[in-house]
Amino acid sequence: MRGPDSLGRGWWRRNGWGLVALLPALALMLGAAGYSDLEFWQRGRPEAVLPAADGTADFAGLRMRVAELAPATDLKRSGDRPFVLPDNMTAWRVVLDVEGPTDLEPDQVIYCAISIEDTAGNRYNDEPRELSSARTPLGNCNPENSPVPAGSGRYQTVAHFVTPRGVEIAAVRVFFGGVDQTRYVRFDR
Amino acid sequence: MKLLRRLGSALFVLAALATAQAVQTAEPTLNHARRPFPVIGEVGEDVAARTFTARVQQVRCAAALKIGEHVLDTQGVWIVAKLRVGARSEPTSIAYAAARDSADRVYQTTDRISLDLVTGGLTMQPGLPYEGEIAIEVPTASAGSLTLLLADNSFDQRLDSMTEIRLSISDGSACSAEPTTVLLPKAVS
Repeated sequence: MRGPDSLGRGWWRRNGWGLVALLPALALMLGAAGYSDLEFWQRGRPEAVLPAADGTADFAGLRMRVAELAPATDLKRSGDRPFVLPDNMTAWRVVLDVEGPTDLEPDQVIYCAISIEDTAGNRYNDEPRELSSARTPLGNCNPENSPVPAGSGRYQTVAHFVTPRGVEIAAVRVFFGGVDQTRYVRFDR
Repeated sequence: MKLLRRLGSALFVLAALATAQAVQTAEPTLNHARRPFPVIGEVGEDVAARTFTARVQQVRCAAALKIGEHVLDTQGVWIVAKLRVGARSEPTSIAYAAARDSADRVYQTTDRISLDLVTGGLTMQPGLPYEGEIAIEVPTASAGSLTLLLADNSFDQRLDSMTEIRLSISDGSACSAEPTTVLLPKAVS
């Protein structure tokens, strides 16, 4: 630390503004460093997007609503043989009515992942191993897998789940990871 | 006086560099600082990691495995552990399983047979546990001091929980000479 300069200013006077500028620079540095961590954290805890009062939600260029959420008691194996689950499990079916742009090619459709959540907050994915012997469609928001013909951009996507028997389902979650990893559409039951 | 001041400055810089070197040397390595969080348990009790629970129900050792018509021998011994595993609140799989001996040598599950239960091939839904057996090939001298490690990530187990369950085998030389079978995973109620 040198003594006064030719103008008679001491070290603190000479470096005062520099010290003041350090504070916003430090804040900017912490903000920039924290931003990527914040986004990473948000991906681990995506935010829920709720549907409008009529039950429809617009997200990822699609309009969708839950048409059915019920136990699936009519599942079949190949050859139309009935599929029976063990007594301690319940199979569920979720049907989404989806409306997308009419000029979209099937391979351009954004894929989704559907899951269900029970009243205790546990989450279940579709296509579980327990249903691997049942004949079920892919519930991924692609019109090619729709059980009804896709017309005028309208089609259905159907997903199946398995939970322990006695579980109450509280919500259907639709996640479009290819579009937005920080949010998902949540249809509360 | 000027020379003394310059000498003092040089000594100060050297001291700062030496201190920085000492701090860097004393710091733990990145892998050590980010090591998994151990969740320790015993054979017969449920051990809860962040995403799954695991219980070692039984453990045995043998000189060979019998897989169908094939007998798999080893230069060491086979450790066969019967596990009951389940997802906690979200679908998950166990993708890392290994045994660590008292010398900190780590032996992963064998790839000579398929072990879906602990190689990520079996996605479990919450409340729907699975039982099955896993096999690990270890030197005979290590068999008496093994701890079973389980985690849900096959590539990187750092900064996440890992179950550590001490396996109750006292002496590798007392293992069965008869080939033993390995139970496939099955859903349990």
